[in-house]
Amino acid sequence: LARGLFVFPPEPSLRLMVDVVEFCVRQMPRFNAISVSAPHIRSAGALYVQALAYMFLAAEQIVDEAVRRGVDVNDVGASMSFLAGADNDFFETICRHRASRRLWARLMKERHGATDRRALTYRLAGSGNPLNLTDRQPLSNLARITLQGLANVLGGCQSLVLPCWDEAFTIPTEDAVRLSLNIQRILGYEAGVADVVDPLGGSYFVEALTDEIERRVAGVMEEVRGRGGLIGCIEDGSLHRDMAQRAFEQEQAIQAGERVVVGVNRFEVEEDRAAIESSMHTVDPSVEAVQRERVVRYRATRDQAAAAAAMAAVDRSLESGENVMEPLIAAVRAGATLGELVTLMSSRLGTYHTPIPL
Amino acid sequence: VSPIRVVIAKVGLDGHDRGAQVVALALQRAGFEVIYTGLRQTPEAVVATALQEDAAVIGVSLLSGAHREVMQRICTLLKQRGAKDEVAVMVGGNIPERDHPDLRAMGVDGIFPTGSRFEEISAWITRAVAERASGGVR
Repeated sequence: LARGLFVFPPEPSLRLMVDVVEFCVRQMPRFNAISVSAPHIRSAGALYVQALAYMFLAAEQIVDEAVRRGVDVNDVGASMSFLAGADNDFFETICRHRASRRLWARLMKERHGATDRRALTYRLAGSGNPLNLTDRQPLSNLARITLQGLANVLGGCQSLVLPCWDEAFTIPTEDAVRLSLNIQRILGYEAGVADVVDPLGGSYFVEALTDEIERRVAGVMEEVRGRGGLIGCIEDGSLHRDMAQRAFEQEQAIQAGERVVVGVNRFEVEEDRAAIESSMHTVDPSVEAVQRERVVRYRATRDQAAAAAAMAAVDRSLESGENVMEPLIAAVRAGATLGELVTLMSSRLGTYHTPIPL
Repeated sequence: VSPIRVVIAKVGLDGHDRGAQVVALALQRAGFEVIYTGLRQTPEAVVATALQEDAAVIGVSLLSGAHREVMQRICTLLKQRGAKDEVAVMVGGNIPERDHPDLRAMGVDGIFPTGSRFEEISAWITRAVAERASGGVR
């Protein structure tokens, strides 16, 4: 939806996602088939309430399609997890997770008729929000990341992944990764914040904010359903235009100083950029030639007839609409490359270009 | 006077285009005519679009770390087409300071790292285009 890595249009993408879910439920039932995610939608500019609504609508489409194919709704639900993250506002993050947990259970029970507790559970991988990290005075990001981690834990995430302090300007160094991991270890082993379930439950503010967020997310979901559903709103471009417009407004608010970002628009200092950027990851330009050569060699040394036959089987499954997973796995085993398979799949499924927001 | 035409482009597989879209919208607000190419363009396609649309400025957004290779290619293509003096080239995104001298040497006219202000970019475009019109740039 907003990750920028999509290749296929929305409808075929949904089909492929459900192919994965269906395959996992039938062949590897203990495997987590899909993690439906909100942070990239937020990063593209959506408000977090919108990002959650789109995330749940995507999950709903996957459940509907899998059930239509005859998969038990309890199995689909149990195979799904969610990725949602912290944002600037500490309490809002906590309450968003609490609201999402209720919303998902209700959605699965009332709308989809799930009964198994595993299918009603909002299994959450809590994440940070790299967009809130700054490349100015970047060590300050350690404080931001700690707050993001704490909010996720207090909100009840099942697992946690935090960004790194240098992520705003480089692929993180190993030291930076270890620091973020240590923030989690300190939260878990030293601070004891994970020892109690829902420690803020009962606070007037937290309960009221949770109710309000749940109402607002449900409201956006209803509104999008009324405008042609998630896929309709992606296809007509309205979703992406709205996200771009909001991203612009958010940046404008930072540049105008309406939203304080420490070190960026308030409390700035002169910095030695060269020193900060000295750890920056560099790409050796020769890797391109090495990789090209590797692919050529890989393709030259495989059993050509077997690879061609396996790709023809993928092509047939794409055309007939049957689950593409088994032919895909067979094709990869027979030596088909990612490039060949994506090219083949786009020729059948089409290619998606994000609507231009101008 | 017709508005200055700017092509904003994303090159390669880098899918991060929040910055490109935000700058495109800001420039449009500032009165420029903006063409945004969308994701996954090649340097060849970006230069072709700019020449076809008679753009005065090409702005490439890069967060992938491939800015040296991509900008070199774009500048070379513009020189080959004899258009380097007519089209101002700017790059934005994750562009470390240590690479700025090399980028300028290969023909990149404007560098706008993450966090650059909208008005700074707009003012630079207006100035760069005026300089070209008056023959100030060889």
